[in-house]
Amino acid sequence: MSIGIVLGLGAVGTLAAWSDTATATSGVFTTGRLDIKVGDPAVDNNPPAFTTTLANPAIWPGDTVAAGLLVTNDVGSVANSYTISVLASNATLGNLLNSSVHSGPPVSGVCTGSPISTVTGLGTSKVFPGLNRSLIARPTEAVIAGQTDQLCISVTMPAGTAQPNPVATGTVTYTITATST
Amino acid sequence: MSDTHAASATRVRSRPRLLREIALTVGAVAGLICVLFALAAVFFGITPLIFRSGSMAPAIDTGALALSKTTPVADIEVGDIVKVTNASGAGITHRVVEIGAVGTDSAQLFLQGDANAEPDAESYVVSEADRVFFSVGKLGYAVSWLSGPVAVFIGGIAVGALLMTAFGFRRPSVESDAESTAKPDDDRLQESRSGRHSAQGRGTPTLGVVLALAAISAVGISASKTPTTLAAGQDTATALSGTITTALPIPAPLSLTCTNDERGLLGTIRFVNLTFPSRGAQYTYQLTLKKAGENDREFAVAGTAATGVVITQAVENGALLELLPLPLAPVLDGVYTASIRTKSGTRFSLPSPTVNITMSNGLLLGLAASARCGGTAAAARSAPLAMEPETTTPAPTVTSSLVPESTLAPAPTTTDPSLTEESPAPPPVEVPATTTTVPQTTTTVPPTTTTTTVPPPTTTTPPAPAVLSAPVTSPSGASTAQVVDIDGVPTLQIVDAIGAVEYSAPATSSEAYGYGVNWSAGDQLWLLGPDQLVRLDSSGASWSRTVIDPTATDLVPADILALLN
Repeated sequence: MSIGIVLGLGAVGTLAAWSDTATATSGVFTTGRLDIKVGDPAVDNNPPAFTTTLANPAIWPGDTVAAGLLVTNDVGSVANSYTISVLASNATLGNLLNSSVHSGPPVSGVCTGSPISTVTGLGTSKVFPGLNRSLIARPTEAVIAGQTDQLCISVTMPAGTAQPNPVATGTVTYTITATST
Repeated sequence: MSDTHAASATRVRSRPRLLREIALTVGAVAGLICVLFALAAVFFGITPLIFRSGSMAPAIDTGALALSKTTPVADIEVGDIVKVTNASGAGITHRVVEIGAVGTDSAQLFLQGDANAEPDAESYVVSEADRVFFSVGKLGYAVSWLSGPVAVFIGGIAVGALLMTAFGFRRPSVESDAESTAKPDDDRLQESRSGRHSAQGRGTPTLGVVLALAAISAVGISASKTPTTLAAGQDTATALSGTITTALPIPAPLSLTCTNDERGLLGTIRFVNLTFPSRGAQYTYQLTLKKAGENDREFAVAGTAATGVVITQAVENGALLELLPLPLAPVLDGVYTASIRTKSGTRFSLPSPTVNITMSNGLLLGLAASARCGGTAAAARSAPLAMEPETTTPAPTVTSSLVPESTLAPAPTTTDPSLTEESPAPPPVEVPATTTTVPQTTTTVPPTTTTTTVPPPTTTTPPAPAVLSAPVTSPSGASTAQVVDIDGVPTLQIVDAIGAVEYSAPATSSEAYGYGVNWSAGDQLWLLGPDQLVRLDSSGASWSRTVIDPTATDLVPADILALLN
């Protein structure tokens, strides 16, 4: 029995060190789902207005096209943060383009809000560096501030870029990945 | 244990004693579990985890308590559920979907929640991870509550009560074994209530101590905050752009040549002519003069000439009496770099090759202002009159005799004798020897020079010409280029897949490049020489030849550029 006592004491004594290595301290349980939507009206994928606006049938060096993108937490979604990655369908085209994310809606087709992040070259999938936006939980249908995030996304062909001949054509896909917090 | 037996035996006689026994028993069992748990954690690296969210459902639901064991990453396999720590410090417990090797003792884990459609955005490079080997639903809620302040407080009271119960009014001492036998009347509370207990009382105080310590462990472990883990939920949405297409480039002028010219009495007005081949009747042009520290000066240049026809634009320093095309109203001074861009609507091509023009503001209010070809921009401010003759190299598009193809006219030399007159002496004294506005014989676009000096394929192989450079096959494999000796003349041949000669022209070699025959993407054949760069493009079964300015790097593929000295 005395051996047991010693063991017990030892275990208790070591517990402090063990508890120090615990990483998470929050005892909050998260239930519910996570569903992030884009566009207005909000849809899961590919809002039509975005597709229509962020296009240019003949982009020249120095040209920029811009479109607003509203990111929304769907009803019932938990709080989360999201990142955005970007990839052009055609690497030749993508390598000639840059893309930027600004806050706020576009004004007369130009992103006028504060710049958040820029990716240079869209030929390979890249995450917008430093872009990590938070959305608060949305328990009810009514939308309050913090449950949506208005962004402006632009695509630029930098001035002085050598244009390919024949032309390069393609689309650019932005993937918004939300992770519950 | 004998303790529980004692409890049932004394049920009728002593209700407080019964309660005490039950309390001690519960405390003992809980304490035992906790002690074992703590031992496991310490000695086997086993860590309990509470799941705070449901992204691992249905395998592990929210609120589950799981046990995990610290495992070297080498032993972790795809399909295991592991806990890692993400960049923001939160514990993430997800299933391994992919393992990327990084080092000998660490690896990159790609995790995905069972309930998530996508793998985690973040991957984790770890040397070890906590692998989940057991989980119980809902128990996490209980453990979590036990970790709360209310539970700790209640636990503390319970421990106190248990201590009181176990020890009565005695001073707690591990060595009480001996004391209890020596002074049984010290154990007043217990002895008075149960004579039977006193009969076997020798072991009881020790048991009480064990139970009390076990109870302390129980509180200890519950207060130690079992690490919670976030089985993070994840969702993605995509936004697809419309079609983005690059506009077809406007062709830049292929070359730009500067020649000196004079006019007026005794050639007192000295200006330059810029000449370049038209890129088509639909374009106009834009002249840009650049000088460091000044804004670029832009001038429109008319151009309606058919493709290849040379357009001449006079550039005169300062606007004087004449009504020639006089783009330069202010008198300029210094060396300017001139380039031409093709213009279509409001859009421009990339700039042409550049030439330098030395502007001198003369003596009196620009009356003797001049413009001369050449000069180096770095010396712009020092002494425009002391121009070095060697800086007046002709424009790079002037054809050299490096690749003397039969259709090429002898290269007009544009070395201007008047340049040597650029001396400090006053200009009017000089009589220009020859004003060399040489109308260039459109050397820029000699299309499809299909000089068929070699008869087309013959099925029988005549005495094979000596091969001077090894055949090089184009990237697509459709054509092969080689230099062969035909009647003593080195000849470049391009041969198609079945051996038919599509192109043949005399070739020269240089020390720097040999015959300089190189293919690049799109089956363009580049001929490299010390003074000239030539591109051959296939159109059907014929080849067109274009002289490329090696300094116009946007026109030269990177792989060819890399070969140029």
